[in-house]
Amino acid sequence: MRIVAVTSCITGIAHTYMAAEALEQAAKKLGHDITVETQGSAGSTAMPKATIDAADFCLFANDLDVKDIARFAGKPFVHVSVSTVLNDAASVLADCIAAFSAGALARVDAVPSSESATAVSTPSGKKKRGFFSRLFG
Amino acid sequence: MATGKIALTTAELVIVGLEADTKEHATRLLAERMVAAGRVTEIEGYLEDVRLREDQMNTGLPGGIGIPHARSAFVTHPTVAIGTSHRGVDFGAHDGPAHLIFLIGAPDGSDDAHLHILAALARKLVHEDFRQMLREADSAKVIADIIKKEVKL
Repeated sequence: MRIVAVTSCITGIAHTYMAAEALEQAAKKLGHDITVETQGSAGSTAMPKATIDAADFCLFANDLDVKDIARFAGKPFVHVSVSTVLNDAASVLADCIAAFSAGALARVDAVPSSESATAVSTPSGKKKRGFFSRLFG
Repeated sequence: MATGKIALTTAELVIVGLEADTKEHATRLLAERMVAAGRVTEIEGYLEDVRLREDQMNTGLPGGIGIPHARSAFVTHPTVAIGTSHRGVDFGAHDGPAHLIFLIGAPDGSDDAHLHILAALARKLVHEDFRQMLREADSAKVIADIIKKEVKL
């Protein structure tokens, strides 16, 4: 599975990078490819468009709006808080992969109302007790 | 300390066996070290910035760590002060108290390059082998040396 992820947090100096590292380690352990864009205070390098295009889905682990979310338009996505990832990155990834495989992920709006994660919502009408409450609760 | 560079931490910024029962007390003891080391110019102002961040969301994390932190006008250089506690201090993590406490300070408005070292530290905190080395260290100097060796740009 190819995954692209974005992390951000309130202060932008700690959780953003911890979550990125946790996701990279978890993906390695589970045998998946992940590219993480850290949108923190230590600069943010936008990932290549080709990487986004090649990804199966996006994982937004953000406490702030995703910068330039239009880049991800059309991709299936999951949106969780940074702390969810820090609590158990491997479970988050496994749950996302299961949801993607089941076709249960919403897609990033093609024309977001603004360049922010406010255009991102949890997949509606697909709530499953347990799984989604862990991801989105 | 490397020549021409201000280290992220030094032995004087490390407290082995922190005597504190609350996160506020632990944070204050570590902040006092930052003041003594010339890294923080005004302790109450800095602690207020840390508290404002802490009020938004607890900074306790799985694996027995607490990372109170703030960008603050009262911080002169990117700095981490480290405390170890056998008994642990509650920072709100669901799996128990923090045995390693990292008080992180970044100057307000500091440029990207200066913050890369803090990003490198944050990434290391996720690794249990790194945390274990710090927990098992028996002196401030050993802890400062581990940070210097392991946290690199």
